Amino acid sequence: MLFKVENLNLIYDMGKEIQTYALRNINLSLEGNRLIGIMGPSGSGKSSLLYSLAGLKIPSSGTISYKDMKFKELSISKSTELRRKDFGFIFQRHFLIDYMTVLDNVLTPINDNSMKAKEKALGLLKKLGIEHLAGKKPHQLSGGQRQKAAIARALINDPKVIFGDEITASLDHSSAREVMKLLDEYKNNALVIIVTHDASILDNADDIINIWDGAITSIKKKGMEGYNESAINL
Amino acid sequence: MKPLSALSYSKNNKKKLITSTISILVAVSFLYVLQTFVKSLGDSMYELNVNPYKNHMTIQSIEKDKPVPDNILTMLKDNPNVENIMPFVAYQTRYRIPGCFTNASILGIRPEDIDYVMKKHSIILKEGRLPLENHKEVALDYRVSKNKKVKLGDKIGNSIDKDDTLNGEYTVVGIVEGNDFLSFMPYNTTITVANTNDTIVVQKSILVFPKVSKVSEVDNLLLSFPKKEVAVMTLSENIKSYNEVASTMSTLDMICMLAVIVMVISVGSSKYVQFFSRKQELGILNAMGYTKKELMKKAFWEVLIINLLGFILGVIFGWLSSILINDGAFGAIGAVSVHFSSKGFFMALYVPLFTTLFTLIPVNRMISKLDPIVMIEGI
Repeated sequence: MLFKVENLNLIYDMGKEIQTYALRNINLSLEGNRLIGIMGPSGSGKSSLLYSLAGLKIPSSGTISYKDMKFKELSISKSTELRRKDFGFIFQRHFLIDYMTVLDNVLTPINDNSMKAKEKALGLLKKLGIEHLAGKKPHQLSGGQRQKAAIARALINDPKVIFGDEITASLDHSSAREVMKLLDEYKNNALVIIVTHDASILDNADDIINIWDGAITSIKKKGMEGYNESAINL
Repeated sequence: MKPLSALSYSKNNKKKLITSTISILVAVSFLYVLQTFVKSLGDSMYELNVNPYKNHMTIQSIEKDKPVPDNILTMLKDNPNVENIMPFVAYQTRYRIPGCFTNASILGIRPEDIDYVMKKHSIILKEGRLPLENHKEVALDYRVSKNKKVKLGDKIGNSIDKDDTLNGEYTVVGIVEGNDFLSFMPYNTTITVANTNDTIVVQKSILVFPKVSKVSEVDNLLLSFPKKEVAVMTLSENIKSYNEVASTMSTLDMICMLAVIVMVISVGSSKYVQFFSRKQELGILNAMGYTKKELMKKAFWEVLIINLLGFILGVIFGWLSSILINDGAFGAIGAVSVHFSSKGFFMALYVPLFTTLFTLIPVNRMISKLDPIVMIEGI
């Protein structure tokens, strides 16, 4: 099992009179190389779930395990090492470093400037169709090109899990579909988890987790005849 | 160059690097120049006032028109550490260096003693000739002639320059060269005016020459003489007087330290602002898996490179400026021009050290409080 979530609760304003449940009683198991979509309206807790799975948000209660390692038992250095080696992140905003070239931005997670690393980065950029922009700075790129560069950055360390948070929100529809197509190709190599409120981009998702008010309402699995009730929940 | 290396950051942010480096450079070079300027002043004063006493000492009768008491003369003559004693007349002439008006010593000695005195002080005649007895002539030390901008045949004295402390008018007939900053005039007791305000003429004055490596013994001997009868001037007394004057220069050190504090606060603040504007970048790097320790290390090297570069360039610029300024202000007028000052070097070192420290302390606080989620979600 890649991820195992047990009785996960994420509460804001703990100890205060009015507490806000970002996530409530989540139980979930995720495994295999597949594309999983997390769907829900704004404020439903989908991003909180994503960042909890990534170890960036600390649950108020419950446990999250990755490869049988419980996040709460990991040291800070171990959990950061895990993020760097096993995870790839694509955020709603590209968060490319403005003073670096696209190529250097892609190399950031591995902080390696060897010829081999550069060739790999250029290969990813080529695959994404922006190899010719390797020497450009982020401000010289369009929104779609920046997001592609961010995707290349997320893939450079051959992650086992790719986390994408509203990655198409700032893109036009055709760019959004293009980006999703690229991630769909990558799902054979990693677990791709995409948070979105736009159902149209999850056409190729293997599973879709619907979330509402911090709780999972349904999990659907892609079948021969559309989505059925999924078996990925505990 | 690794993408996250400090060198890569510097390469990609040349404008910021140059701006920050210039701030450090200016601060470092300013302090360095200030220190070498002060050292030039101090060393010039030292050479002028202390050097003449490295090979002789003086005794002067306190009481007007009375000679040095015989018993003291006898003690000097009989002392095995004293090589020679001779009468002299002490003259002075105006010597100007930036920041102060002072005087250079001129010894009025008998013609038969002059060779001995010059030999003892390792002084050689560089140009012209030595002054003749009962002539109003002077052989000036080459630095004094440079300071007064006079050459052979020119005249000095308060008849020529009313600010000069040398009474009357004297023709420069010779230029002498030696480490001990001495000029010579004849023993013109007949033509000097005693006890004027400007010219110190002590007719009953004695030059005392200690034997080689017996300076401290003779120094102690002279200091043991009754102060009510004679005024003595020895090497140790001169050094003591010089140090008292030099201690007033500690005020300048305070000014330098204040300057360092102001510069450190301003440069450190601007550097912190630069880091603060990169909070998002640091947050995202943290989210991607770089520990806060690694981010702090990155910040440290970035700050260090700027400070190190600023310091090295600042010292080079300060050194070149010292050559220009001090050679112009001191060297050109025969005073000591200092180009290297270890104190200046170390004081200038405070700038990058404290700037690094005062930049990294708030940056460390910022990084330790960094929450990647806040950066990602833009809260």
